[in-house]
Amino acid sequence: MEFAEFYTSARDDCLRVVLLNVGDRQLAEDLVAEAFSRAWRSWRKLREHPAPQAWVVRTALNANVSWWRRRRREVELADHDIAAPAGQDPVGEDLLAALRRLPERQREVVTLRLLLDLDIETTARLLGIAPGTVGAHLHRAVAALRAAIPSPKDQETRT
Amino acid sequence: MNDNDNALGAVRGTLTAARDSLTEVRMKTPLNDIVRHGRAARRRHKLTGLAGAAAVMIGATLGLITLMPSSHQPGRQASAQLTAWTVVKQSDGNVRVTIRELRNPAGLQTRLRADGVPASVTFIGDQNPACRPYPGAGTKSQRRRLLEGVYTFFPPRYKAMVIHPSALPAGAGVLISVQHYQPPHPGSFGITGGLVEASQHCTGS
Repeated sequence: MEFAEFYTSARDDCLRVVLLNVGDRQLAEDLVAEAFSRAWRSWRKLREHPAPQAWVVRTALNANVSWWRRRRREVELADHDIAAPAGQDPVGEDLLAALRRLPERQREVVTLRLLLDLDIETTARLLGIAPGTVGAHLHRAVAALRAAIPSPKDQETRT
Repeated sequence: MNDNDNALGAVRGTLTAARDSLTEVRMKTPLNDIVRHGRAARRRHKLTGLAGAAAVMIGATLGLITLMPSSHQPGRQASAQLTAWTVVKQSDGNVRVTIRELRNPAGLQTRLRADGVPASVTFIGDQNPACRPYPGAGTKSQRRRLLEGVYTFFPPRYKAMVIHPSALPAGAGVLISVQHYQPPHPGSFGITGGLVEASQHCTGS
């Protein structure tokens, strides 16, 4: 596959997954653009990668790590952001907030396994950890995230 | 199916639904910009890796391109001089703030106040403790009428915000916060804007 073809086919999906993780439209575009630029520079090797799209998403999220760690300490400014996408559907808002609070590794595993549908082996290889460790991180993450999804009982109570 | 499978299924279902609800979210960055940025980074990398001494000299040469704060003074800027930030009061009364780099938020704050915008400008994490959020932080539509974001990531790498003072609610001031991202390089930062209660200690008036 040529890089142009890869960019055209993968860019929007990568952007959406990164946006779910960072919650800021402009920042997500910034990070994904940076990650694709790095992908272009490494394309000779990356074209052979089993999941180049996942590589881009992970690169984008890693570029954000320091920013993210600082941002977690911010409370007041979260509501002042003017970069939120217009008309964004608030599907799973509580769950996404919980996703953003997860430890970095757990968030990576959730993103790769559940949002990008990678299998355990590929996820493990991409993260440089054992497949069993992927399972452990996913288990902990799901336990934390499950609490953020209203149960059918809760939904009945609300209506 | 056990509880773990149920939980995994519920989380996966909600996450994918959230992702699929973003169909209107699309990358705006053209392929050409991605490639141009990649080429520039590759050139920089080669220069750094292959000729450290030469890179120092090149850096010294580039150092002639200085970043300095400025108000809008067309015709006065030297061709090789980039401004770190500019504040331009437009004929319609709106104020456009363009930032390439911000090291001294107080300078920008002073400039904005001089142009009639009650403002507090800080780095994120270093907010002025005298500032209090405007009640309810203003509605989203209030904030959108007041502040309009403009953004370019690739060269010339700047971020801009157009402030519409006429849309400022009574008793409110503008809070501008700048956040530097990683990796640090020119243009690698974000601006957020919001509403705070106007006061002498927070917004200057």
